[in-house]
Amino acid sequence: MKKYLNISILAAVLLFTAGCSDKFLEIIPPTVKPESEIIASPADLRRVLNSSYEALGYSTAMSGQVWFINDVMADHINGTAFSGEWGSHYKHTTDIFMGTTRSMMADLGKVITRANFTLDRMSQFEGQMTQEEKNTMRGECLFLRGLAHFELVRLFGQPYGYTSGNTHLGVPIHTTYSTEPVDRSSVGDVYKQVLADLNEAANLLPASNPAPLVSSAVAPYASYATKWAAKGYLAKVYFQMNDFTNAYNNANDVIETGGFAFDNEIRNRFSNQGTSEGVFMLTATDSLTDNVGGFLSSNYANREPNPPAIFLSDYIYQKATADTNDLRGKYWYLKKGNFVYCKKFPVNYMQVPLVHLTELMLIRAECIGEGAGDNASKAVADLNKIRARAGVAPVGGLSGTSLVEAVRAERELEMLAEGNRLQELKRQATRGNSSLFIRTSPWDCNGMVNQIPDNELKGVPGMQPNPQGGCN
Amino acid sequence: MHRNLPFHLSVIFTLAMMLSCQTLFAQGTIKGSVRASGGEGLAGTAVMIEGLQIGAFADESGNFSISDVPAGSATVVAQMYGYKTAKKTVTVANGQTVTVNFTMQDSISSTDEVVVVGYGVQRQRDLVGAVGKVNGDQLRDNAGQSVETQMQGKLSGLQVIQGSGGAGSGAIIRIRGIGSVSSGGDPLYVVDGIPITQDNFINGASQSGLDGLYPNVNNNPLATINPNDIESIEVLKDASAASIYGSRGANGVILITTKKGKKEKAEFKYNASVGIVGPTVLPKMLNTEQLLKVRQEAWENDGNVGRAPLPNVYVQAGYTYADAEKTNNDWYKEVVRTGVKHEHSLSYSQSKKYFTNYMGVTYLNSQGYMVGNDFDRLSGRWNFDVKPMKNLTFSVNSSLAQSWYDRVRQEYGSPLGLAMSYALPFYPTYMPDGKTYFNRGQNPLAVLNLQKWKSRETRTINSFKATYTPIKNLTLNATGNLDYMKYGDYIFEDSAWTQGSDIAKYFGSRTVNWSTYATAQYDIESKNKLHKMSLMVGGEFQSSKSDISRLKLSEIAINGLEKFALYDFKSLKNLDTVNQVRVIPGDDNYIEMGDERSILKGDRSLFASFFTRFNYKFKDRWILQATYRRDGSSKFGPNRRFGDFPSVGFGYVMSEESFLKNSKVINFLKFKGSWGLTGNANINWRSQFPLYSTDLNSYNGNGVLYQTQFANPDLQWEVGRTYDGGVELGLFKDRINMDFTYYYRRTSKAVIQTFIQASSGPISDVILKNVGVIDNQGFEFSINSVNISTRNFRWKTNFNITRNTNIVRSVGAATADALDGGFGDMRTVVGHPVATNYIIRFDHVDPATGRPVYLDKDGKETFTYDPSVNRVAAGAGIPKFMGGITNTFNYKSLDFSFLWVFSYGGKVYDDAGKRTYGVINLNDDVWNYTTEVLDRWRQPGDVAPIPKYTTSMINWGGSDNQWQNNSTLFLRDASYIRLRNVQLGYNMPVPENSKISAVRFTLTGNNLLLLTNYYADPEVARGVPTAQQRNIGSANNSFLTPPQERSLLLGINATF
Repeated sequence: MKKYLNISILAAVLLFTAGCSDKFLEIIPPTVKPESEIIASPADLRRVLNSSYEALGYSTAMSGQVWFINDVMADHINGTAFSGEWGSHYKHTTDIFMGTTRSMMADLGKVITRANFTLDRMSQFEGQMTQEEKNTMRGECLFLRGLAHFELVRLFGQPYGYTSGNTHLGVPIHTTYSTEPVDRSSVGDVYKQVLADLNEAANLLPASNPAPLVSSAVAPYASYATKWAAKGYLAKVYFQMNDFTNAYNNANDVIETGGFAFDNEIRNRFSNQGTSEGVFMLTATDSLTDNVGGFLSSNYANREPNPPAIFLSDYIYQKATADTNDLRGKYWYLKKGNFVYCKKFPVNYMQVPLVHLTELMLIRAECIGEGAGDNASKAVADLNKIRARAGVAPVGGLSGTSLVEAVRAERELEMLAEGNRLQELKRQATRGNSSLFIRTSPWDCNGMVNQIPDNELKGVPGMQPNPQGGCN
Repeated sequence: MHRNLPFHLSVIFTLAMMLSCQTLFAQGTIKGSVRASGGEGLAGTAVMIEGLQIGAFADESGNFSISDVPAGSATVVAQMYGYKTAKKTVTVANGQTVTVNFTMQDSISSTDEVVVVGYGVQRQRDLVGAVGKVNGDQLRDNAGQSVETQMQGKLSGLQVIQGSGGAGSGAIIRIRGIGSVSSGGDPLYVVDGIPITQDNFINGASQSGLDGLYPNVNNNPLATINPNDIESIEVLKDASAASIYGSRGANGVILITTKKGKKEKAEFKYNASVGIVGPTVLPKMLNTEQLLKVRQEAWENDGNVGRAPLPNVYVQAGYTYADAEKTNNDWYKEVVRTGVKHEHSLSYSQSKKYFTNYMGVTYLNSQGYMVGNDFDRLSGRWNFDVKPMKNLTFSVNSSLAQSWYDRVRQEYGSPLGLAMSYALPFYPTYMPDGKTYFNRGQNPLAVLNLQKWKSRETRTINSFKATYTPIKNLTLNATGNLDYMKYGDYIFEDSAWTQGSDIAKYFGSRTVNWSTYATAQYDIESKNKLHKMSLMVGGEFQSSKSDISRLKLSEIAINGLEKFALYDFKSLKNLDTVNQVRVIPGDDNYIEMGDERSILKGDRSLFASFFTRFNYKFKDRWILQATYRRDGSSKFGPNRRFGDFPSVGFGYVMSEESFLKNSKVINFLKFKGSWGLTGNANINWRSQFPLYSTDLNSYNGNGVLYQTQFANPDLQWEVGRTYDGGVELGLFKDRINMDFTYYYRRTSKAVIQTFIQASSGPISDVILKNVGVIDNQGFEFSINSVNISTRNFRWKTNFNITRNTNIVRSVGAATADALDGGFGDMRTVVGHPVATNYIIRFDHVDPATGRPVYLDKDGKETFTYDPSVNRVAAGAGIPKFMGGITNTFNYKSLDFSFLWVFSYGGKVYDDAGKRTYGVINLNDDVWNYTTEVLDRWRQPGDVAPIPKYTTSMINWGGSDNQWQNNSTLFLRDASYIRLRNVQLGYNMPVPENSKISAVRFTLTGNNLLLLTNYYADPEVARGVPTAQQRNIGSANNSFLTPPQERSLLLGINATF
């Protein structure tokens, strides 16, 4: 009898503890909300897409640092006084533990990830969007993804044309929203993906894009991707590849049919109000979080009498000021003692054009010089339009090589500090100038390419880092 | 006769009570002999009269005599090491002599001891699991030091790494190595049956890092536990012992049991100690002359001429080379002091038929050696059992403690850290104006005086328990527990620091941890007594809830903001003149501020568990134990809600066999072995939920939204599978006790923080995956011996050594750089211990050029420093052997003991080394150098440990990014032997009939001697922000870390 009592007490305790269902163990922290509540409409998804643009406009991404890094490694910046990371870039001795490369990789990565996330979730709102809206959203995602891959592959790989089959290592290609590690692809494959994305974007995107689902509170800058933005970037990509026919076609389309007006005031090119020739511009509003041009305005000279953080090289100063009439020399340079200040980015809350007519005209002109498209007179006209704006005398009688040389010279002056110089020199090297030197180093020495940073390497077992050093 | 308690005592103890005391008139004598069972006299046996402080030692033939014994009934107690204590009661008549003879039985004393195990107690001899025990009186060597620190060197299998000399700071405890990488590797702390709240990252080193300003101090969850209240600490080391704690037992369990009343007569104890503290060893920094010389040499080595430029900040302030030359500050003098600490503790205890009672109150005031660093604690405890019926007991265990910290920052940017780094000997305190701090952000005195940081912790741990025995052999037990913890950091930053307005900040948290458990235990014995069985079943439910509030106020208009901020932040809510302050109705814990508001409803978690333990013993020698626990927790992902944790252990007491029973040599011999599963649920469970941005960023004026964390529903506990085998041996009647254990623990499903590559990552670029496999195996050996035991002199030795081999077998797809330990290059690398330096190997200094020669990944010599390809696992932060040896000498009323602790084979990464004896910075970011730098290459042919001075890492083969020059040049041998503790005690003879029954004086030194090849204290545990960094990069990684404290204390203990 006693025994049964004991057993029943034990059993009661057992049942008490084991009889619970597991529902009560489901506790969701108060700060956690399901995605269905957070992304509940196409407008919410539009905000996700907007975050991809936001990342593109980070000062550590396309509104400053990427440009600066591409310039400091070339010959327009005087980096002799730099120490630390900037010094490493200047001296072509980057390593894998650098804040600069980490942030460029991560921020351009965010552009890609957020675009892929948007693409991934679009199917959930299938019935709530018109076909046109869907095309636009998809086109914008592809545009952003293609653009970011293009910038990454140039920062972290040797240029297109470095090997004949472009089999040398580029960057990972991300086309899905996933946490799975992706290893580096060849530069050739990255360019293929970039072209596929941008070409599809050019087909899908409308000619103007005040994004339909968002009330655009700010002035109609070219803030969001359009057909012309995609074509403009395509021109840049093809030109980098020395594919002059395609570069010509895309540049020509934008110039001729895009409806953008050449800005006759050179100081408008970087300004608060933006420039009429901006095909795609990172938009600054007057809210603090939107100061997209902040890196440029705070590190280049606009704080006199305080010296800037970045100085220009004597080499470019001599070139730009050789013609005393040149407004570019006059407006953009200031020599103080041994230092040359760059005054191209004079204000905060600047609109930062990533594609503009000036560059597209230079591309079209050089393509003509390389034998693509029209005859040379059109190219010379473009060149003289730019020269006239800068207050210098027109040129004439150019064609072929002489035209190419003239365009390159003009580009060097016009694109100052816009992150163009390093990749342009590398392009020239792959276009038959294999003995080109950048300052004192060969264009293709190891250090001319940034090290893949540890925040990328550590996500992918066995990922090949870039070889270090080798530049003098 | 009765008398009342002294008035002041009745005030301190709320329970009024009476006690009796007999007044003595008539006296007699007791004499007799003490013999072993073989008949030989047992010299040196202590013979005492119970309840009185009189007695004698037996002489060489075993005879004794005690005179002046009060007439009446007397209980005579004979105690001798190695024998069971014997008692006899006699009646003494006035003027008569009574004879009492003892025949002492062999003791199985140490094995007879009762140890606390999870949800019960067991006899030591019946244990099949590995349980280590430290008695409370061994934990009071150093007033103000945390209990776990004082366990160092006293138990095998237990690694205690005391991190810093900060007042009130804790230690890192590893039980049999470490089986976790990205989740908590600390053991479970259970106080009187309650798994307490333990969060090392609650304060300064939390993720938010107190606004990023005050990192590097981890909270000590045991800081409010008063060592004076502790009866014993049991450490459950293997699965057989710990798997009853299921999903929380994998890193071992530390059971803290507090005191209960023991003696019928009321006993009062007063303990006091007072002492001084200082640092063990500080790195020697260069003086002005040495520093200028070093800088000049580097300057000239790089091909420059003229004087090496002085730091920009110095030149810009208008100082010249001549100013530098005539100044020589020793910054240590400004930030290091001799601290004073004192502790007072008063307790009362009593055990009567219907109740047992223990009450204690302790006040501690402990100054650290860092200026501005204090730790105060006031704590009280009441443990009360009442037995209204023979078979029913109600117990209350209740503690309340309040701790106050005056904190100073530690490591980088801290006053002491700056004295070891940025504060150059020729820097002045003030600018030439005499008021403004020179180089404010890097001036030790500016940091000390312009930033104030206090913390307050209120902790109460309570349990209410009912134990009922309805029928013989059945015990029912129901317990309800509450562990409440409120913690707050109060920070004030002077406007001179912020260069704006005064800023006050408050970071608070409150954790309420409810638990309840019920057990039923049934014991049964067969009629022939050959079979003994017991079965325990139980259920437990635990709920934990924490809330966090963060407030920031910057307002010049509030006068005395500092006062409010540091002492009375809550009263700010009453300042209705301040518009920014608004009280949230109904909850006075939260104040909403105008300029920054962030109140987080923190974690809520539940555990629901069922557990059972079955013990079987056959013929007192064959022992079997099986346990099982099923844990469900809200912490686990929805796809893995429940875990099962079984264990089986067996033991064989061979000394019970007839062939050993009469052995003169072996008195105890037991073999044991066990297998079991345990879990580790100390994971960041929030990481299972997908998260989205909440920021107010925008592009083109439109808001943005993005995912910040991927969903991870498969996240689960880590699984430890442990095999354990050992032998316990008692020789010569337990004069020598040995214990040898081999263990092997494989942790699988270890949580690995897998990085999502930057090019495809959301903001939170990590995801936790249960993919790790980690092995720990090793042995533990301990030996206790009574080397000499004579009438007046006794020498005992306790020695233990542990060898643990820790190897990571798999980390899934994670790379070494994904598993980093914070600063330095400490990583988790497959094939190596969890904490491994993954680093470029520095080989030697090239005698011809003075350049460092590195080894590439294949071991070939190279001048190139290339961390992208040439880093390899090059030295573990985990020692190969560790242990301790205690020697205790008793001579008459004096006793003397000393404890040496040793650790061999670990490496310490000197993360500051690359700046204090590495490449020399001249203009910006300039550090002072340690005297290590003096031993450098100077001219061709020199064989030197430090390469040629230079100002650019390029000259040492690397990039211009000179702070990234980690190499084994800075990886140093961390082996050490320290005189952890030395104590001289004197038991003052007290007059008979005195109200005082014992008085003891002690003189105690801690850390008086440190033997090491390292130039600073190699035992380091840095305050870090995450569990992964605590596992990988905290121990054996030094970065301006304050060394441990050295102390000398005088104590008095009086019992009356």
